[in-house]
Amino acid sequence: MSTPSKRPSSRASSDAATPSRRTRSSQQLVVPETPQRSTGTPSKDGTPGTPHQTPRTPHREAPGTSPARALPSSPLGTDIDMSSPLNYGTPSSLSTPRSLLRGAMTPARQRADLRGHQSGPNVPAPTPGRGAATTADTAEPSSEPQLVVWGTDVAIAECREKFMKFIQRFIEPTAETTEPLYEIKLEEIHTLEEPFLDLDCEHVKIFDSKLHRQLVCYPQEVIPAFDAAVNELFFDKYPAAVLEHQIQVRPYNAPQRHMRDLNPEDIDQLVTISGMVIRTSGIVPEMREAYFRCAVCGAAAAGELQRGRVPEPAHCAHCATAHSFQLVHNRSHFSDKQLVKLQEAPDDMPAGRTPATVSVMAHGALVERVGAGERVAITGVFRAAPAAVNPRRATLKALHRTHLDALHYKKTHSDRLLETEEGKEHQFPPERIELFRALSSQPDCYERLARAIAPSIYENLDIKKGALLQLLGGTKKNFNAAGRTHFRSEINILLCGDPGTSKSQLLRWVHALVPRAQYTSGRGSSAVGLTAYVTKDPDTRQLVLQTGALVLADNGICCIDEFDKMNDSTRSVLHEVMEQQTLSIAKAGIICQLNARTSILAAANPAESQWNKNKTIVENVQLPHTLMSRFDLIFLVLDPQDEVFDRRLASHLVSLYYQDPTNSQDDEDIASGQRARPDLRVPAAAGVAHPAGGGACAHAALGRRRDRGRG
Amino acid sequence: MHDFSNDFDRVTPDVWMLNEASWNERLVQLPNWQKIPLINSNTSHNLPDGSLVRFRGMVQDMHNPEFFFEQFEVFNTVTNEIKNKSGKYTDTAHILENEKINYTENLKSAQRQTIVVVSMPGLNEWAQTIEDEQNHLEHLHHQPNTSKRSNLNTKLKRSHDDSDDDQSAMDVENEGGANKERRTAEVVKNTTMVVSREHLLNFPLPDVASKSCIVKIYDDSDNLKINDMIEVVGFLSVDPALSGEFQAEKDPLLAPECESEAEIITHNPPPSLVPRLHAVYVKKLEHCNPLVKGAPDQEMILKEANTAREHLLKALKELLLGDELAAEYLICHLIACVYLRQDTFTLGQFCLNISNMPTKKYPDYAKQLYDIIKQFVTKSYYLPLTVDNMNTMALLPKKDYDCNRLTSGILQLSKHTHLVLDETKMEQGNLDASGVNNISALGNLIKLQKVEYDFKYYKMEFDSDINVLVLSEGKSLLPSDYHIPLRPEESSLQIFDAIVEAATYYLKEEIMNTIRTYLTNLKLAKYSISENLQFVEDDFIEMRSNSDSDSPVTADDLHRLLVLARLVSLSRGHDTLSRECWDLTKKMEEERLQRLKNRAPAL
Repeated sequence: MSTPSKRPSSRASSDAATPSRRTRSSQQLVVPETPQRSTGTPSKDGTPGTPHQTPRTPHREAPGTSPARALPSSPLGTDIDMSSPLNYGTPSSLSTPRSLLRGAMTPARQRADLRGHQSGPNVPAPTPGRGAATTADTAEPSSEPQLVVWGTDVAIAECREKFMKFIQRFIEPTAETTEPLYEIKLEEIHTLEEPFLDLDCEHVKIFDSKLHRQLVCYPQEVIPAFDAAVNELFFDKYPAAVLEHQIQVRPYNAPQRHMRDLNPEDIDQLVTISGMVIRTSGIVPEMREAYFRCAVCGAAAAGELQRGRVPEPAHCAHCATAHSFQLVHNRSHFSDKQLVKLQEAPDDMPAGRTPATVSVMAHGALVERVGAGERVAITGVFRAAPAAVNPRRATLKALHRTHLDALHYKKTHSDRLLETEEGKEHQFPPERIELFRALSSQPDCYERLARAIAPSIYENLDIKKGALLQLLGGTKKNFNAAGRTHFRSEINILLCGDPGTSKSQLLRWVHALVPRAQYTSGRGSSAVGLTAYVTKDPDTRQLVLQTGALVLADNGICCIDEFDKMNDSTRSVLHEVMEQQTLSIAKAGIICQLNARTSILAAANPAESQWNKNKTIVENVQLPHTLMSRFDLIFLVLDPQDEVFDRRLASHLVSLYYQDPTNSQDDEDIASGQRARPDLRVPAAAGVAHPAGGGACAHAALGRRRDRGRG
Repeated sequence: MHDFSNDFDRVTPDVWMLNEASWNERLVQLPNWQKIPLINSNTSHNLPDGSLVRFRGMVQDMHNPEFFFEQFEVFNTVTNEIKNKSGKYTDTAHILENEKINYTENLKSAQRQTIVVVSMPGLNEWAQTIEDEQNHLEHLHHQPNTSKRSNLNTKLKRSHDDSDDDQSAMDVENEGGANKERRTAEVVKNTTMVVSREHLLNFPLPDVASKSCIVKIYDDSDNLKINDMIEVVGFLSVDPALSGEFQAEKDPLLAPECESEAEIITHNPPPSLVPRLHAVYVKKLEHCNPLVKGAPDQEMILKEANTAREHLLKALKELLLGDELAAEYLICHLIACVYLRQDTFTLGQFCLNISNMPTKKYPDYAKQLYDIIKQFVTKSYYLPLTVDNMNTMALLPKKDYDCNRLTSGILQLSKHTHLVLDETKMEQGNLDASGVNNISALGNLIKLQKVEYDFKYYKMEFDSDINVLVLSEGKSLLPSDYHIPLRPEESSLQIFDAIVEAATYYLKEEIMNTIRTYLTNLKLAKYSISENLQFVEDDFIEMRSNSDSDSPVTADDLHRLLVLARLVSLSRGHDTLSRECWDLTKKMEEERLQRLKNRAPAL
């Protein structure tokens, strides 16, 4: 729990050696404090469990309120009885006991994630309203509540009030109940005893757009106010509740920023970025507070972390010996800290560039929440600090190092094609839906879309229609009640025909369109390559299951070329996948069933590599009946070998060469096509993911393709 | 004409920023670019810090954008003066001992892009020599080194010595200091991190001298893509303090690093080895042939095409042991490039497989052939497909998350690079997993002109435009668009060594330059076909009706014919498809297919 004193402003010293200081701190003001907050202030004095009576020890001035405090010394002073046995080893010993009796057992805890300024000097955010901020008397902490934090337009008390109202009154617009959403969440906190409140910023926006703006622009100031408000409400509601520490608000769904678009204007603002975790560092125990003992007289002193350093007290206050202090490690307090590297997800990457990465600092409870390879949306405060200052050198890098202090992780499930909120269907933007509608009202909608599939392939409209149906999929019907499982919604297609009839091209085209598509060739695939195999993980030396193409194409399409060249044992694994849509594995001590809800698009040559007109279809295709019956659509792609067809084919092919590559208009066309591509994928994916409702969308997407082809 | 010596070699970032627009304009109109020192041809340690230089190369990697201080205040503690400074176009804040940066007020941050540019991979010796001649600036060698600081620095001395030697001496294996060198893979955390220069330079091709630069781009660089060829004009920054070895030591317990040590070292190589360039102007290059200058003049190119073609044909025919057909195909191969990508289609690729190499008689025939080819083309690389090479070499670029950069692979090549695969060197042996991967990567490249970059958690395909020539004994195990068995003449076979000698004699510098220009120009030449190609359609129908069921004529055959026809027309200096060229093309294909049917016995 961050209190005003934990803000950088509290360390308003003008330390000459370290040239960095945040602007706001030099002039300082602030601080309408709430009851909890005032107690939660500096105070390492007082042991836990002994509720410390209200305001503060008179001889100590809250550092947060002292603008003129020019000494770089520890804000803790030395007058603290840290040697008290009660103090030792208590995880909450750092925290301040709450002033109010209710919730007295719940210690406050400093929020590591909002303390960015302590670990490193910070850079002033280019905040527009800085000059307009009021100045105020800072000596009186209990002065008027209308004061705003210097450099912002945030009035702490007002914020708090508003947020309390928000919690008490906000009802989700789409919700059926009339109970305020966050009251329910408080109840959950009470039941689960997990002291974190996840806050959807969009809700705040609906409730009060000004508050939302403040939250986004000044998270440093606003979130502690929110914390205070939540705690007050919570302990009003459940006076007897005991939590591990005070409730911390974790906002999410802040304005989405693209990793590449983060720029200096985002410094110190609340942002949400999504990406893939590529590396997590080990857990770093960060010393929050050091415990020193005088080697001469045994007197104790504490030092709090400041800008990544713990200052050692120069003199012992007790015996006045200089430089006599020794650090006692196991009586110091540490908090967890972890560095996470986030990389742009492959879908967000602009073509032809390498992915960008962002460093994310996770604190406290967020440590070890994500692992490498996971896709997450991280909400946090974007920080920048001057890079590697080397005091011994006159020159220095005029650079910032940037990172994100994580406040909230949201895992985007990779098994879902679309980011849907829990329990909610994906919503398309209205203009898109409009487009779908317009398209679906056209009488030749089906033909149009089918023709838009793989425009470079000549004719074969029926096959394209088949591929279109496969892209859209059917509706999954569940018959669990009736005693059988379900009817699959995925359509399997087999293309069988003469060589050189662009079967492979269609496969490639489908593979390129669908986000979760896999492309394999029958000749090169083995049974385990399609299903799953067991390997020893080089890091952990444990047996792990590596999934194969069919499992990776779950909820997508698996394109298998040269289906006839596949050997029988490999083909047999397809039986289960194509009907039950699962994959059972029993090998090397791992027995499991994996989902493989994939459509299969296979291409095969006839048994004699050329279609024999004198034989029946079954003789020509030469696939086991069991497998044949699992294909819903079987297309025979034959070479008609007549002149009219040949002529049309020839002119179609030649037309591909008309385009002059240096013609700028075409270039533009191609470029715009590339840009449209990610756009196209979403609806097409929707078609696969939500077969019932997604049909129209995929239609539209494909329709747009067609339009492009014309223009 | 500008008085160059008074302007561009004196300009400093500060002067430049006073009037950026006019400087930029003057730079674009500058008639004598080559007076701006080109780092590719002039060693960077002869150039003072902060001077305007050029660098030419390929975008190898893109790092994260940097936030820098666009404007900041400096407070002098002695005189109490406050000065405004800018961090633009420089890495370091040049402040005096008694000056302090004001971090709190009036600090304006801005963003700049960082890209890693390596000198053109595969640039052939002749091109490099010509470029050096054009760009070498004699006076630089007599200039005293202005960045004195770097001379004092003993740690850096070794790398300075290296660059003093000519580039040919860069081979690390031969150096005495090899014990200090470590291979990329062995980047281990150690008390003092030392990484090999290959690791820092990160050049796609092994055993080739290279240079690289870290380029900081200030204006919108969205149009830059990886593997683009660019020429950068910018301010040189070689302050040795930038090296990762001189980072202030930190207590890792108190301040967990945002970057691992390996990352810092890799991202901050010694500037003597990898200079920083603050770009004021970035130009995308279409080619890097020093002989071709200015905008291509379509008519001129076409008019001169035939003479050059005859020279080339004559030489190649002799080298291919009197096989004119193979020589024709080889010419087409040399001028081919991808000119259109549409959906899954890639038009214009021309992978040629010449089989039936006379390896029995001349085991090094393929290599000898390559040695001549590399005299013609601007960029090429020769890769013997030995089992060992396939198993050990890194063909595909791979993201190294420890160092947070893209580790280059051989297939990370800029467009229009010729890759010659020598399959005759393949011997018996087992391909391991990485060998199989490498082979399939080559196959993908040939079939789709795409290279898959390995980002560990996923793979990404990047478009490439690399002409692949496969030289093999039998039909290659790799796929190819055109396969032609060589049919050597017995007489030529006997005197091959003499032929090589004669060819070298015949190919005088003058003729060579004509051919070189010809090859580059034709890649850039425009070509279109009229909408009315009745004869093509007619022929196709005829071919189909005549074909038998064993080797049916399919759409792919027509594609092949059309691509070949384009190159045949272009090579003869026609920018559109004519009847004659079409017939010629058909004849070539017929002859080639005939050869495939009745293979000549292996030699």
